[in-house]
Amino acid sequence: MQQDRIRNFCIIAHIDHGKSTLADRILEYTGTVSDRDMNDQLLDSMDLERERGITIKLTAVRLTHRAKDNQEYVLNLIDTPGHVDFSYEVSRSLAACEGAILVVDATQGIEAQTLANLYLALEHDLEIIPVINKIDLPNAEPERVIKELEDAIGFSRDEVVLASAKTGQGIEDILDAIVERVPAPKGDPEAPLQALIFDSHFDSYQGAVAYVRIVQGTLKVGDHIQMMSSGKNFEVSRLGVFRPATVAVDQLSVGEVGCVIASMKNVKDTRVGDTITHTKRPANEPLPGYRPAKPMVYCGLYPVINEEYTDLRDALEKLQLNDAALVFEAETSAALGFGYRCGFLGLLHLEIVQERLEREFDLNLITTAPSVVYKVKQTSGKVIEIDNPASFPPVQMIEHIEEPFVKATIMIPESFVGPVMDLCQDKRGIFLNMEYITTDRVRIEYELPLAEILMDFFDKLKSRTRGYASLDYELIGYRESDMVKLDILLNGNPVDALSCIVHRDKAQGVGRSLAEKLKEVIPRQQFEVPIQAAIGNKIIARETVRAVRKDVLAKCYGGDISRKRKLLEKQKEGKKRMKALGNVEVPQEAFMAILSVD
Amino acid sequence: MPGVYVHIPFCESKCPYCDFYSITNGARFYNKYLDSLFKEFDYYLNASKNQEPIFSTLFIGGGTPTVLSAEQLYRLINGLLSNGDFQNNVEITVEVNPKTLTDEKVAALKEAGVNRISLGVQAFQDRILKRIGRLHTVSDVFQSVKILRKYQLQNFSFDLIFGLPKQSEQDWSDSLQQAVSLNPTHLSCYSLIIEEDTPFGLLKNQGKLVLPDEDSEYRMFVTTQEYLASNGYQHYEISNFAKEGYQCKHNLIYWKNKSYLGLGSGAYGYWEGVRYGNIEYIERYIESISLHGKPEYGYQEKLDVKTQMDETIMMGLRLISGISVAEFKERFNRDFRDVYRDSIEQMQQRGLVAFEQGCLKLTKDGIALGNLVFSAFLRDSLDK
Repeated sequence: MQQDRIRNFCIIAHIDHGKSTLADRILEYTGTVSDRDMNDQLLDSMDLERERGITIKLTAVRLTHRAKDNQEYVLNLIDTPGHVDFSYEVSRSLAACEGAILVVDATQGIEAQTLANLYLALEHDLEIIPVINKIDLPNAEPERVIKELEDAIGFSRDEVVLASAKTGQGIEDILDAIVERVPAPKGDPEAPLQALIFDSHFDSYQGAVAYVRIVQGTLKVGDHIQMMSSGKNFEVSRLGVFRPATVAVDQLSVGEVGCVIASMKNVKDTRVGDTITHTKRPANEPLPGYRPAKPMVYCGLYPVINEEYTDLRDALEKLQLNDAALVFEAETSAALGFGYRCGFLGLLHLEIVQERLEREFDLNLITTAPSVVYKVKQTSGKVIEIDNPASFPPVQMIEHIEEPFVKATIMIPESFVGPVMDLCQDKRGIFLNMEYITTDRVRIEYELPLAEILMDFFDKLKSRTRGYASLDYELIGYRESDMVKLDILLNGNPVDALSCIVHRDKAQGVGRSLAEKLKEVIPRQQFEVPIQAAIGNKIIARETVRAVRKDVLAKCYGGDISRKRKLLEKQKEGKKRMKALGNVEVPQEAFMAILSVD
Repeated sequence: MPGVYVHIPFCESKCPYCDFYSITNGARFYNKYLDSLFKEFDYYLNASKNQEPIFSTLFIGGGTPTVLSAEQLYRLINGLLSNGDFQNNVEITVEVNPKTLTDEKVAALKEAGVNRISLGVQAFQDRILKRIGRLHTVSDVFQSVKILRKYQLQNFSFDLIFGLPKQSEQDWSDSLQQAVSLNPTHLSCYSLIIEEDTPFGLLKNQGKLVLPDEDSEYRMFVTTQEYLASNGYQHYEISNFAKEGYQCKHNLIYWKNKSYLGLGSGAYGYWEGVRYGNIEYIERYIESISLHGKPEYGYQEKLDVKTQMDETIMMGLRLISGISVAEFKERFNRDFRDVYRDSIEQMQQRGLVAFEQGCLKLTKDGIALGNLVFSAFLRDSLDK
């Protein structure tokens, strides 16, 4: 493969701006996939991805394009996930490219996430090709969007490609622009091997598969390789490129993108961001930027039926094979019994894992409210990290508590500035700055506690801006905050799994509305169930679930009998999905009630 | 001994809460329908391999049986009685709508041997009757009772409903009082159950049905028990009350989970271990009988022993006297105290069931929370 005929690029876009459709069109245009094999949105292969319209696992595909100089070029398209939970993965796939297509929706304009990814791309010195997509739509405003690109980012009008992934318009222009503007990969095929892992997945037959970009040197089948972060050694059994199905090759040389199979048992052996080198002639140093995935959010996962505890562990282990960012360890809750404390990159990651556990492994789960990791300085001077409200030390042992803060960037039409600033203030935000990108679009930056973002911040933001807001955030460190532990008592007994950490100023209000919310979701039982919210020994709110008085089928004759039996069986099934805490039956939603509290 | 239920799926108009199968404007089918019923009955009599069963009860329900003419009513009952082998003291009940009852029809019923009448009264307030789509008025009820007495049919029962839209607790007490003043031998007092596929079901989903709240409904239920008890009516099933010796034998067959034939379109039966439901289209029902000499089923389920046991408990607990350990043992050769040990213990702890004189029965709280108890006795297929 001639190095100067390779172009490695990715597409960055906000959700819904048409990244996947554009990728599909490019695949079709270059003949990589025939119409017949075209399954809508090919790069999103997991069912969940298609349903949610997001890309969770990135993949890569190799295209060939005959450019204007009548030469054939190999174009490697590396897909990037489109969600802020996965920003580290995005940064690794950007590091594997020399160029990026920046897709902006002609009807929407620039969004916070587009900008965040764009800045990331610029940090990696990528050549950016701005593409305005969806220009076929009647409400497209390409002129306005070009102006935004000029004003906010400093592109010149001639750089911008107008396209419609739907109709295919502009696709050739994009491909030509890639060949002309994106630089060929640099590097020396004879140098010691440095291959950047930008993704991995687990295949039940071949083990962990690493997706790599060769930055220096050449990798061949049979080579002995070493993972530079762990020092682990493997022997390469297969190499492949993606067209888009994997096609075996003998070697991958500098600038190429492909996959490495080497009897690796676990995706932990193929950490994203790690560097592969040769065992015998290792590179002096790994490629920069490797960082082990660090969970930002924790929650407890408990089987509704205690016996499913081992099934849950097996399922988590299976998911972990394919998801190096998922961590879990056993924990016990006085209320819920045996379960696992699990760490996630963010809320979306959490939801995806939870949904896969329920869908693919048919488990009935209780998820406790997500929590960030707090740093608690104890009076003894010792600092402990706590990711579970239930394990907070008693008040008298706490000197102070620190919580993670993020810098949030929000982009909105000018008319929503007021409501959005109110929301941020309400969520304990600290205003940083505000900037007009164009005459009617504004970028606001706030420092916010991560815990507040985990709640319903994004939903609220969307509803207050009629869906026009976009949000991006990055962790900026820990700050001291006046946090207290809010306990919930059902029938007089504290339920550890319902405890949460809240800011002291808000504790009263949260306690009240949490108690109200619980009253709504806990069904009436045979006995009255008092619900109390408490801080320490002080009860701050009280509600009562009233006793059920009458529940009996009035008429039960003849043909009704089997039908009524089935009706009662259904009622019983519903009960099974509830967790019995003492003699109170509590539905799954109760443990997430805190998320919908005002 | 088994009973026979005959479904007359015809009405003058549909009540918005009712989910039993019936059609309006079906007069052209009446005679053909009766012929089909006789043939269907014959089919079962001939198909019973061993000896012809002896029936202890006949219940004509609907629908509205009294949409039939006096002559048709007579032909129906007389036809059934002369075909099958019925006990000498057979209980013959006909459901009667106060609007459609005439001297002539009552005379025909009496002549045919009917000895029990179930009158669909529902309420004693015209405004409520109107709201729930009943065509009759309170004065029709008084008139009907007068006719029944005239023909010596003193053994009559009233159906009454509580928990109706915009019904006050006072309305209900008044209904009970008026009902008792007419001295029926039996009272069925149902709480209104909103079924999904009825007009009321739709209204409820749209939030347009104003129903008494649960507490109010509970108080109506308590009032019913207290008031009727103090007037000489024994509470013998969750929704049923009778004077000494006037319990409904036919319905006892259901509650004791015994066999009965169901005849007619949309009728359900439990025969030779199979629960079945006949097809609900009158024309197809008639056609199937005339072509094949047997009914077409819309539903059929052979019950395994576990389900038979569960249903026996579920139905038996509806009786205030409860389920007898001895009777259960006689029928299934198992002691239900072993089979349902966990459920019994759990329900006892919660104060919902108790043992009394060799029977397991609902407590006072258990009666109001019957569903909770019944469902606790339905076993997963994996249990035991």
